[in-house]
Amino acid sequence: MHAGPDPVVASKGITLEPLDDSILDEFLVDSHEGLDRLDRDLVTLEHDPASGEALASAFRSLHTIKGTCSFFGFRRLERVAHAGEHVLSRLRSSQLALTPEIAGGLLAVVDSVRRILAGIESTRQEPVGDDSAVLARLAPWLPAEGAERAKPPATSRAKAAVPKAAASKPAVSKSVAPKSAPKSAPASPAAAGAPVADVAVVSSTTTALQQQHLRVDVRRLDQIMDLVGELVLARNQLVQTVAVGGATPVGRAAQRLDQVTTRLQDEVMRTRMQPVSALWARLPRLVRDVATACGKPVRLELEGNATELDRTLVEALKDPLTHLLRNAVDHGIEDATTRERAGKPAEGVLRLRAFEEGGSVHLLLSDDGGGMSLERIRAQAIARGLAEPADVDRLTQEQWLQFVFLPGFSTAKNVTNISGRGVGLDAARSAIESVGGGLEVSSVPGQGTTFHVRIPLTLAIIPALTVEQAGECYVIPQAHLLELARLGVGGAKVEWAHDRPRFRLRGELLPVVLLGRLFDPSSEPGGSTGRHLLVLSAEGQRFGLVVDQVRDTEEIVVKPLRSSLREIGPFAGATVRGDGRVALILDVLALATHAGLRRGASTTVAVSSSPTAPVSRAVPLLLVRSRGGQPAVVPVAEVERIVEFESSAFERLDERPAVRFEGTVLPVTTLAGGASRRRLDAFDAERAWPVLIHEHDGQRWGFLVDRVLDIVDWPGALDAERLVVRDHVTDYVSLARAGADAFAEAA
Amino acid sequence: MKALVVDDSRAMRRIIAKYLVELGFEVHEAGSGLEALVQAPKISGLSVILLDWNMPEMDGRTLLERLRADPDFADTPVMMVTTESEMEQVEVALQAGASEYLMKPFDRAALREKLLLLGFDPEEKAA
Repeated sequence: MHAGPDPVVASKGITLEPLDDSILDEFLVDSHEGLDRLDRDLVTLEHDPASGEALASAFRSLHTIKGTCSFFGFRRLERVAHAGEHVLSRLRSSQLALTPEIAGGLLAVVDSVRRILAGIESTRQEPVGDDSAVLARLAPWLPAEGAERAKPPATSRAKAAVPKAAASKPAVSKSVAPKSAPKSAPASPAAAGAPVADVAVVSSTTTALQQQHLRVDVRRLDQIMDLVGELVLARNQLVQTVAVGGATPVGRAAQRLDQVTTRLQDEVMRTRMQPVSALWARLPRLVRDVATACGKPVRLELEGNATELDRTLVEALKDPLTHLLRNAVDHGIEDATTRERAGKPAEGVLRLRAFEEGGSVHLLLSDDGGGMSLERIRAQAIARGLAEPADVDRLTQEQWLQFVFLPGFSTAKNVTNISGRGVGLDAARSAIESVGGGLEVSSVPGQGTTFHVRIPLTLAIIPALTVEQAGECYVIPQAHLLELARLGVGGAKVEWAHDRPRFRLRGELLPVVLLGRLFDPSSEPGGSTGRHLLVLSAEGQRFGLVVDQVRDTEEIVVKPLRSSLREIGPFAGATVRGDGRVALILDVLALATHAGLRRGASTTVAVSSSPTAPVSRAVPLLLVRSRGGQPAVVPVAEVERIVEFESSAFERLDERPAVRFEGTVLPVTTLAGGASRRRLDAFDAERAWPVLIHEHDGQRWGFLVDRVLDIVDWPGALDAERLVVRDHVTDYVSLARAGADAFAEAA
Repeated sequence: MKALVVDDSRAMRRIIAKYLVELGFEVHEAGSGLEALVQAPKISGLSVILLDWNMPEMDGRTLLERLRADPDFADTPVMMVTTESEMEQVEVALQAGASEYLMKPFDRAALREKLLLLGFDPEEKAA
């Protein structure tokens, strides 16, 4: 035998030379895919036990794992997989019918296999462990000699199993060729629970010839992506200085460099993309487990799994999504009796839909449950001092729903094992916001709750139209583009009504944004020759955008803008164009705001539509999350300082919360106004609270908020109480007014 | 000598290919029955097909029947790669026209022995 790595002792007592690491890696990848498939198949089978397809697929997955692992001498894995395969084969041949117990046993097999594989993955050896529990779960459906079968069969046994017809062929009887040391295989005890004796030895020193799969730090991919961008620029400089192609060696080299660079750019970009289905593989199983634990029949429907997303985002979504799903099953969907009383089918439906729109990926998770109880939210908010009885009439349903995102907030009647400990939604929202996304909830009593997760595509590829304005290129996500019109042709022209541009499209008067004027308000409307009008849609409404030139459509790589840059205009991101130049991606929703379209919920006041408000005069607003969880904006001009205070720093002064600040006592209230008597000291968590400090007539007031989020530029007038900021309905609060209300009344 | 390995498991294909290469074969791989049907006619002088029985889309049995129905592959040796738990399938396979079968796990020597039986002259690689 080889002098190097130890031989692998496989079942049947044969000795194999160790396989190299790259094959083991392939096996691990294959097996994980197989297990994910198996999870899905088993869940399908529970709903449709007669699905021959799912049975065959489930059998195949386990069968492949068992067959392949035998080459590595992974005996525990082989034994567990074999037991599962046996039960599946009996199901397949209709000798058994699937019961919840059998399904549970098979899922336990999947879990065991997964655990063993994880061990192999980290140590390159099969971990030592005891599988008797999982084998015992399946024992009722294994043949009487079930435990025996797990024992490596003697060679004579293999012969006995050879069918007679086959035995007539001479080759058959030599089905197994024991090579050297056939007796070296330790005959393990028949009991499945003694795995220590047959731990396979795979040398970890085997030289890896070639790794098929590598873990790569995403930051490294980012660096590579940036370098490729530099390469593209260098390529362009070269291409502009030499005659590409043709007879000269330099020309041919330039042409080749050109092609290779383009390919490289594409490939590097692809390394970062992953379909959301990667995220979804385990969800059916998760829902199934939670539903079983809650004793509710629940069906999960998945849609749009081909939607691609940057893989860091896929990773970042894992936990929040898990949380939302658990929550939906546990709290969203009612138990079967309640459902039947409400005239609904006993089986609850959870629907998860992924789609891409407006440069973001959206995930909508809807349940057909009872909806969130506003009464319970109100009751808890008031009980915990987060709201006052007077707020019942003052706050809208949407505002009340925001409370569920507060730390420690739970309206679950019973705290269960699964969720309802109030550690869910706030964590989910923070996780999603940390990658630049958002989490919203809407709920209809009796009909269900929908969570809306929005995440930026970041490096996603989207088709976009490139336009030109004053010599600069901008790109517009194609998803928003409805049609193109050439101005000055066939009477198509921009009309002016009440000083605002309009465009007549088949009898309908659309609001229009002039890109040139948006960027340079001093410019004249000018002649419309050679100009193009794009009909865009935003949140179901149409408007026009006038640009100098329309160029080509291409797939672009979306790069996020730093927040400081996001404030300079209606830009959703940037992209590097084919020629290496950077183009800004226009934020169509922000453009719609400029067009004076109403945005967001119908209860919201559209603010920028005042015809007198000059488009260019933007007001910087501080975007915060208020103590009640609702987003709010405050004019930056009114905020003197933002200081964080620990919960313990808050004291009470004349029934009013206060903190010591710069040698004085600073009275504190919340943005909700009239909150001065609220028990601010009843903080649920030891944490630092940001306080906005406002100075008014030599008097300082503090406004406690949950979080300070960002500074945004508000392009319109500020005459409404609520604005739509970054797709959120947001309270507009003047600190001068709120402070006067709160403190004057107490004075 | 050229071999086509048909298996939906990449790891399994790699293992069989490794042994076959060591035995002096040029190895082609197909990940499904359908891919095998696409590939096989393009490999000139294909000498043997190693076939997994359990595959999605087109299983080993269907592939075998399709191959046997095609005059070009009616006589090409086909070796079924199987496991002990599929012994009853071996009979089915042999009746459907499989030439030989090989039970997992196997080592290079076992594969060599089977190839000898099929009339090949595999190299005995010096270990």
